[in-house]
Amino acid sequence: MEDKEILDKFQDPASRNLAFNQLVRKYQQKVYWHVRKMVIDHDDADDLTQEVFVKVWTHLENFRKDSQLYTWIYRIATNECLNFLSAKKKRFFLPLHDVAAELSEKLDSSDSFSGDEIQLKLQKALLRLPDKQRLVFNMKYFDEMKYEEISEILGTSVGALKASYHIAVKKIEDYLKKD
Amino acid sequence: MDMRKELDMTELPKDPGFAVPERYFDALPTRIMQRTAYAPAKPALTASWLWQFKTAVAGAAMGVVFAVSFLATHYFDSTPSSEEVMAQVSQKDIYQYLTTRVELETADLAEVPAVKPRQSLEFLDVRSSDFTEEQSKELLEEAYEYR
Repeated sequence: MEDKEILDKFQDPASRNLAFNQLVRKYQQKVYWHVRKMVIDHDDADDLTQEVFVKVWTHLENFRKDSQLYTWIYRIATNECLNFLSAKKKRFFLPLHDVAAELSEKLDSSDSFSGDEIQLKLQKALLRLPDKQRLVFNMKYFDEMKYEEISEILGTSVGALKASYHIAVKKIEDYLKKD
Repeated sequence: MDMRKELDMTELPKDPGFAVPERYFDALPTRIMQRTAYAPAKPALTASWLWQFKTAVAGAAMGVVFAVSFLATHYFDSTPSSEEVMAQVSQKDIYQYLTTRVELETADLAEVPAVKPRQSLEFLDVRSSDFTEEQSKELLEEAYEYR
């Protein structure tokens, strides 16, 4: 079902649930993987993914159609991730590096990480980046999004995103060469 | 891949390497729909017709009040100025008014244009000797100042 059709059906109380179910089925994997790459842990990603869709449900009637639906949903998911990580740091008075260490330990101990040694090293290298830089790298590298799309979601200029991605790649290269 | 050799990003995996429990995405929509059942959707932020009407009326009323007060200030102010009133009063009436008002000083009458110069002394009740004395004093003072 196209986004427009989903939105139109959502406006009608009789077809609202059906339309939203279609929306969830269409975007659940994108949202989940976007969140999972940021929070690493499956249970956290599961909670946040549900939270994202509850927010989409709550605010969908006020969704302005001047942006694309998936861009709007991505923006909600991104904010949820950043708030989650920020709250984690504040709750335990942890500096950035310690949060990265904690998430890195989760990668080692998690049953739900099925990657090989290179994938594990890449994820550990990514955890050393600042959250927003990691976001940019994930969206560009793994999701293969265009800079213009990322710009719309993060509200950052294309030039700044290119610079951020370039710096992220250099840091990852340095980390992987040293390790 | 040996990481110590020249690193090529294209050789790195595009798959992040995470896994999810079996049939996770089959069950997720149902779990989300269960949660949304308890989270009412916020109504769209559209203003009711009554609110729109009230706002329009209030705005129009303010506009009318402003326009009326502007016109009243600039066009309907019929109070003539004191100069206009005085221009309509004849010199004769002024003369009669002044002569009948006891609290006026005779010096005030000397200021009236209707009074001829020769009549000034009459109004002021000044003797000619006083006038001459005053004039000579004035001349002396002027001579002292320029010395």
